[in-house]
Amino acid sequence: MKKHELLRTFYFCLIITAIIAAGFIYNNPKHWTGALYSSFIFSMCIGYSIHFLMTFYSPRVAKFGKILRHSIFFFLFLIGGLIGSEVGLGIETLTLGYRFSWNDQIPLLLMNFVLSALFGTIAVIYFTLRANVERMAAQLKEKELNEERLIRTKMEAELQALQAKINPHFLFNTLNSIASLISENPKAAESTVEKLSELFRYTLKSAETNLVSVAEELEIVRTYLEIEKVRFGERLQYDITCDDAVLDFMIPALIIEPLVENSIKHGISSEVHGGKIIIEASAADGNCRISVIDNGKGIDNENKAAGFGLRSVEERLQLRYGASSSLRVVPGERTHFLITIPLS
Amino acid sequence: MHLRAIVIDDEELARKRLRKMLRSYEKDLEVVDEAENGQDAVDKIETLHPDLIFLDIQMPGFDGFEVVRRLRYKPFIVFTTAYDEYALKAFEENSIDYLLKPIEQKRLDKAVEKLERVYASSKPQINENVERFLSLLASPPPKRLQVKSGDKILFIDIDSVAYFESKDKYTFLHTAEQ
Repeated sequence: MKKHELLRTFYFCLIITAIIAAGFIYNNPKHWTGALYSSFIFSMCIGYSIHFLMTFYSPRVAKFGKILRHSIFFFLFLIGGLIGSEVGLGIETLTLGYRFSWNDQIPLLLMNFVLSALFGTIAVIYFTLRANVERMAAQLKEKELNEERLIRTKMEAELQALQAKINPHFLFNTLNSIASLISENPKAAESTVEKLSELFRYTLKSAETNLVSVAEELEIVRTYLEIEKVRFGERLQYDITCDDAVLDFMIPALIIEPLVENSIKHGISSEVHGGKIIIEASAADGNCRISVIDNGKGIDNENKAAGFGLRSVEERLQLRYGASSSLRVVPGERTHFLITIPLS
Repeated sequence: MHLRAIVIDDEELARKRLRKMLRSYEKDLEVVDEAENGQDAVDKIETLHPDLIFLDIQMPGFDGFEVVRRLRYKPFIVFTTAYDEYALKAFEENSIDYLLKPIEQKRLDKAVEKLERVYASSKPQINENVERFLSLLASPPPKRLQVKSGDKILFIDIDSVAYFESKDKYTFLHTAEQ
């Protein structure tokens, strides 16, 4: 039983008490205390009888049609009126010592029936309207919150994609390599600048266009790896393979690249002798499966969310495909990330 | 003055570029060798005893800071890094010399000038700063944290921290109670 509902009924009954008592006192001002007392007792008894009947039955009749439901309510008001009247009479007898004969009771009961039906109807209309207004306000607020959340998640994802690319470590180290190449190997310097521009342009574009083909994404992965190869030389080996079946399959932009960046960080740059990164895209069991494997130390599913870029990949997958897609770690000697996206 | 230097960086192009830039000081400064990872660096420093090293921070195996910790023989150190937001502030505060990659010639000139000045007067001073800096890096974490809660500043024992939560631009601290 909710406390505020009980209190609400109490206030409502107080108002009815005041109205009825006013009527009696107007007719017979001499007995104002008795009128006030009786009005109070009967209002409260009948009010709470109806209150408990309604709290018990109204959820149980909610599925019925409007007319049937309101007929039941009306019937409940009469029952409530009867029960409340009898309890009220009992209290009057106990407290004031009155004895009520049947003849005395009948007009009282009739009056209470009328009042119960009247005030019951008013109460139901009032509380229903108020509940509707409250529900609508809550729904509106919930909708606004949801929209705001969606926009924010999308913006965060875009921002993260950009920030991940403008990784200062990557940028300044690459610029340093280019500065060195300008005199060492001007051709290579030129081509590295071109690749860097291509990568940044792709990143900027990906914030606008959300979907790209697997072939496009793999091309940018290759560009990225070629830039890193300038820095790491022989320490970085890589291999990209893709089934023809998924070449044109559309995926969110920058969803493979962050995994490769992660492999560079944990499988290449931290290893004295470097390593090899293997990227495979294939179709299996109605899914597009994309693997990024490096010979880093391996990782478990609990720790995968640690990386900023990886979390962003996972969030964007969830946002677009829900639970039917996943980014998970395939257990084993090497670090193996597997993206699964349903083909249809 | 004749300084013997080792250039330490895991990227070949980075080493080449620095060596090329240092050629303009070849009268006073000679690059005697280069190293491409932490272990390599420690080995070469201990055998060659250079006056000066240019030391990259991010390297495979162990990083530049670890190299300094493991050295018994301590040369002058100029750190090089592409980006390291935490170390940079600490470098400034401890007046340790560092160069940001891509290294600018002007900035390198300053570093070498400073080196010549200090070398002439008090050799150990720079390294004292490095030692202090490294001990800062290795110092134990604080026992209590100051946390702003509404208008109040609370002192929270590290031990009573349940977890930290990152939300919008703030980090929230949660204890077991709240």
